[in-house]
Amino acid sequence: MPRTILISYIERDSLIHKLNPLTKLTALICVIILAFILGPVNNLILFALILPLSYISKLTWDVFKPIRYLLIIFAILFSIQGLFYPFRLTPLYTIPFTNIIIWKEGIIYAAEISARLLVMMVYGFLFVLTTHPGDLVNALRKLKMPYKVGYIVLSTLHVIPSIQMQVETIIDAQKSRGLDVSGNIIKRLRAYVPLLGPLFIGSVQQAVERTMALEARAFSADCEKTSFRQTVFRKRDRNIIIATVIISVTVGVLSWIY
Amino acid sequence: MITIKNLNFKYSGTNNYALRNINLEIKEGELAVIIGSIGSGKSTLAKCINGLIPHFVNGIMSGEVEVAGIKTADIDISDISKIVGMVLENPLTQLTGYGTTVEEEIAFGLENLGLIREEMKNRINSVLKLLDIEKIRYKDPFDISGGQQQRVVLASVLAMKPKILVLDDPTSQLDPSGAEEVFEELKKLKGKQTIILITQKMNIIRELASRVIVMSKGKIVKIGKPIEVLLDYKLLKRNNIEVPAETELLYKMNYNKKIMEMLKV
Ligand SMILES: Nc1ncnc2c1ncn2[C@@H]1O[C@H](COP(=O)(O)OP(=O)(O)OP(=O)(O)O)[C@@H](O)[C@H]1O
Ligand SMILES: [Mg+2]
Repeated sequence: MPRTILISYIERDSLIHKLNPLTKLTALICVIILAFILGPVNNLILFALILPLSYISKLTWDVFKPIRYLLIIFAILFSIQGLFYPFRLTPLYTIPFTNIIIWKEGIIYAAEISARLLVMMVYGFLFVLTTHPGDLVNALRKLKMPYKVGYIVLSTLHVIPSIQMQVETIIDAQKSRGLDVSGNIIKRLRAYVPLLGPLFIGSVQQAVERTMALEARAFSADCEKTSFRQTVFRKRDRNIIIATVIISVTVGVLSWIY
Repeated sequence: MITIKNLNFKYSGTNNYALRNINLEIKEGELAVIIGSIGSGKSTLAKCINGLIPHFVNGIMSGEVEVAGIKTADIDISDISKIVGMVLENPLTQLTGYGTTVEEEIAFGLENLGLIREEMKNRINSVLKLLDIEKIRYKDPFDISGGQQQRVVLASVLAMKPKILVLDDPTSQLDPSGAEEVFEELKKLKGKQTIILITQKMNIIRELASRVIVMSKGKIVKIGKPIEVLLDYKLLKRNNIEVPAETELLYKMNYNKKIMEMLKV
């Protein structure tokens, strides 16, 4: 069973894997802030910079896999904003034989948001692919993260695969009771409605069970926690953090001025 | 090891008591098996022993539960987790996803106890050896069979060295061979550890249990030796519990009464 689609650490022997999770987290936060400050063109440059990074981490194409989930969102964004953007002024294109107008401002706005999402998605994914989940939790612990936040981080680590599994089990069960999931899209969607009940009840049930299981492993014990995996904070971690912060602030300020 | 006195419990939002006047004494080293039909209160009783009731689950509780001489109501749930280890049905909800290897998964509970690394290593080595799962030490816990996953959960709990182990139907989500694996482990632990096992699988009771507790509608209706309970056709039938084929046969041949009388002497 796959760990999850979204959160799936891939073990590789690379410089980026070896960095302290806090270093990577700092860099990720810088990138996310930059993504909000920069315009679409600069964001695309930022997006392109993922290439050397993913090359160094020996992952290359894995980083781009989640983009396919974004494509639907982009399609919706561009069509809705292109047609109905509230501050529309300049018509860009009129669809022939109709009076449907696509507005320039809407398209620009959609492009801005899309570029931002794109940047956050790939960098976030690079972080997750190169950071061992246990190291991540430990790093957050060192930052004195309250254990409730820890529950949330830990649960997301496997909520998604278990939902996937459940959906499959439920579909199989319903199919064996004669549920028809073939036919046109509306028919199919309608066929899936009866799945939602068991899925929801199942998820709540599992969330309760998961919390109980974490309790049983002394997750909320308030003694000083230790860690089995050893993460080190090297000089290069410090240097990278300083460099990232300086570069980000400079870039941020510059793009704000111009 | 476990003393329960006049225990009653009602889940909030329900009208009926899920546990009614439970009195129970479990000695050190016992392997007590709890059986009973669906909804008879087995899991609720387990939750009372591991402190989820009253610390985690809302409801009305009266009476007393003592584990290793300490009243569960008096201490924090995280302290109870050091005394009572718990294994539930579904291995997937019990694997924390925190580690990418079996060894790291086991380490999770030990980190929470604040053990030093050397001690963690020692404990991991010994549980892996005890349960004979050294082969999968570096495997991804999400990438092994259900039976192996449940053994990893068991190992994770055992590594925390609980005085009492509570297993709530640990094989119901496993295929027969996975269930067999888990029961084999329990046989190894029998006598070394106080164990409470809730199960639907009647065929393993005779071999495994030192005592059998029969529950029905929130009450304990019988506590006895495995053979006493297994041969009591009427008791099992009356409480909607699956009757083993042998018992049915003996009953129909009118033999079980004689055997029971022989046992009592
Ligand atoms: N969280 C809850 N809230 C309300 N009622 C509950 C809750 N959990 C269990 N119950 C009820 O309490 C009673 C005892 O349930 P319990 O889960 O202890 O039974 P069980 O013997 O473990 O059954 P099973 O064999 O299905 O596991 C049942 O009537 C059940 O509906
Ligand atoms: Mg139960």
